[in-house]
Amino acid sequence: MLIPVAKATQSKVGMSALAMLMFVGLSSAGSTETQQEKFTNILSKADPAYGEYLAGQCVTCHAPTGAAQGIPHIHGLPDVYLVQTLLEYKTSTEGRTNPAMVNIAKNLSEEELGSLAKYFSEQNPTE
Amino acid sequence: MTHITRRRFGTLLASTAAASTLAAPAVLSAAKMRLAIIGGGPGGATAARYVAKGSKDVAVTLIEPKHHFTTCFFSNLYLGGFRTLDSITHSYGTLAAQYGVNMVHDVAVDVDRAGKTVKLGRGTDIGYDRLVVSPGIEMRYDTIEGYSAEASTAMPHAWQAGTQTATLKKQLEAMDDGGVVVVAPPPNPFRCPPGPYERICMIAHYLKANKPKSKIMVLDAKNKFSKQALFQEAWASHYDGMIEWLPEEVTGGVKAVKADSMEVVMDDETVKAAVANVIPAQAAGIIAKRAGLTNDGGWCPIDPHSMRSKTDENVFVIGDASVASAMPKSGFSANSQAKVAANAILADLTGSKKFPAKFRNTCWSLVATNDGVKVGADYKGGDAKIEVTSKFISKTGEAADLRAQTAEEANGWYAGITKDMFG
Ligand SMILES: Cc1cc2nc3c(=O)[nH]c(=O)nc-3n(C[C@H](O)[C@H](O)[C@H](O)COP(=O)(O)OP(=O)(O)OC[C@H]3O[C@@H](n4cnc5c(N)ncnc54)[C@H](O)[C@@H]3O)c2cc1C
Repeated sequence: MLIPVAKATQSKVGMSALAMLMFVGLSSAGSTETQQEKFTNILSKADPAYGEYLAGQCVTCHAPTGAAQGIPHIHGLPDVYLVQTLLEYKTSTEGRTNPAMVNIAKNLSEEELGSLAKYFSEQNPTE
Repeated sequence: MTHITRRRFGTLLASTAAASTLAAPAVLSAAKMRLAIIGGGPGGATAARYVAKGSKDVAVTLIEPKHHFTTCFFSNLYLGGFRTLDSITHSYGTLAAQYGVNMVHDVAVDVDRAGKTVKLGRGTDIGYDRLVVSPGIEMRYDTIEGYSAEASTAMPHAWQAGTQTATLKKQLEAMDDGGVVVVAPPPNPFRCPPGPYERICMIAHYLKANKPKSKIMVLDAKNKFSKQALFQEAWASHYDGMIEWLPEEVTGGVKAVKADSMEVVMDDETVKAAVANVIPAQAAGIIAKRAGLTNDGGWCPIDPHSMRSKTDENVFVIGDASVASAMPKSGFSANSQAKVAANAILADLTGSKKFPAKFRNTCWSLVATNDGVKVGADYKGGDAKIEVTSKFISKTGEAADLRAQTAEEANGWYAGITKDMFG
């Protein structure tokens, strides 16, 4: 399963260097194929309207523009990257230990996770 | 629709058939459906923005007497010298210009629920198909003898931001070094459970730098409080010897005040204060009571799946005024509830999809420079009330860099929520 590279490149605005590195690492390593399938499978469950509704509870902190001030921008990031990050928060792995995000991610079903990732990946960070 | 109105509210919610007949006339009608909102705080402003951006077919009117809104959140940081009042004051301009919200700068003095109209101070009526009530709180001055709106100019509560907060700040600046600042936190339930204790930190921060011989005496109406271990840790580590917290079981709480002589009276003792920050018990904003939406305790019961009033299916109550059970009365909660209500209102008026109620809250508190703590939870609509899904809290003894990061997050949150409210 391939990462939709064209799309990812289009929407990578605002993505941190670290995020980009991880993202590239992920797409080139053959051993992550099953993980890729998992991400794609999660994204296939996305419901755009539900994603928009759920995102309402995220944008209280994650503003689309302005200085990040300790809360990273997530609008316009690649959907696969967002799924991966939320899964890491869910299990509190890969250094994703912020208790606010861990608490949020652990309640998200795969449909919710996919819907949120899809929604934010389609947002323009300069809105 | 009369037969639906006469039915019991619970029955209506349980039946999808009834729900769709309720939505049907809205979708078919040619004229725009009307949403009126009382109060332009985190609850009302957010509801206005989300309904307006959710549908062009709903005309949104926001009734709010003030032209500019000063947030209570971060008003403690103003007392501590970390923020200006200007930086926490916002205009409704974008809501009107970009989202087409009809701003009516007036006071709602009554609601005719049968006639579905809001009566304004200037005498005009605003008709509605759905009404959101988000008036915040009313001070129950009568719970402390001698306290009143007038006495609060000498002994400010500063629990509604603006003039009251500025008065408290001026008094702190004017007092002599070595004076006693009394802070009297209110009994439960009240707006912003960690708020009085963050305020104590911020006043202490100011005094430590400017009037180090001064003391803060906390005359609490309770025996325990939010994030207690975290606040007490901060008081000991940053402001050692400056703060004395006296719970209700020790003093009996504040029974009376004498604003002329700056005296605060408990069961057996009286304290003379240089500055007295007296925060009384609270209830839902008075319009909620006038509209007949409150219970005996003075707050508005709601359906946990939608924030719909339990007394009127056409009315939604959000924010501090509502009985949100597990959710604290916070700006974050009000903003969160507004989005659940907006989804339900759009479903009512346009037939769009109603999703399950999911709420969130996080309250950051700044305890000293670069030292922040937080508490938060996710919530859902339960059988009878809003219930916690899961929660977290900062720990005592956390490393300084984590605390600095938490303090910085609060700034990010402030920027985010105010953008989400006002556009
Ligand atoms: C010191 C302090 C610190 C706080 N810190 C935080 C924090 O860090 N984080 C957090 O999330 N929360 C915090 N809060 C709590 C937060 O400010 C409130 O919970 C929040 O403002 C509630 O929003 P609301 O919309 O219910 O009411 P409000 O913010 O009170 O807004 C109600 C609006 O309705 C208007 N109104 C009232 N009656 C009428 C009427 N009859 N007609 C027309 N308009 C009317 C009022 O003018 C007001 O503008 C703090 C509060 C205080 C006091």
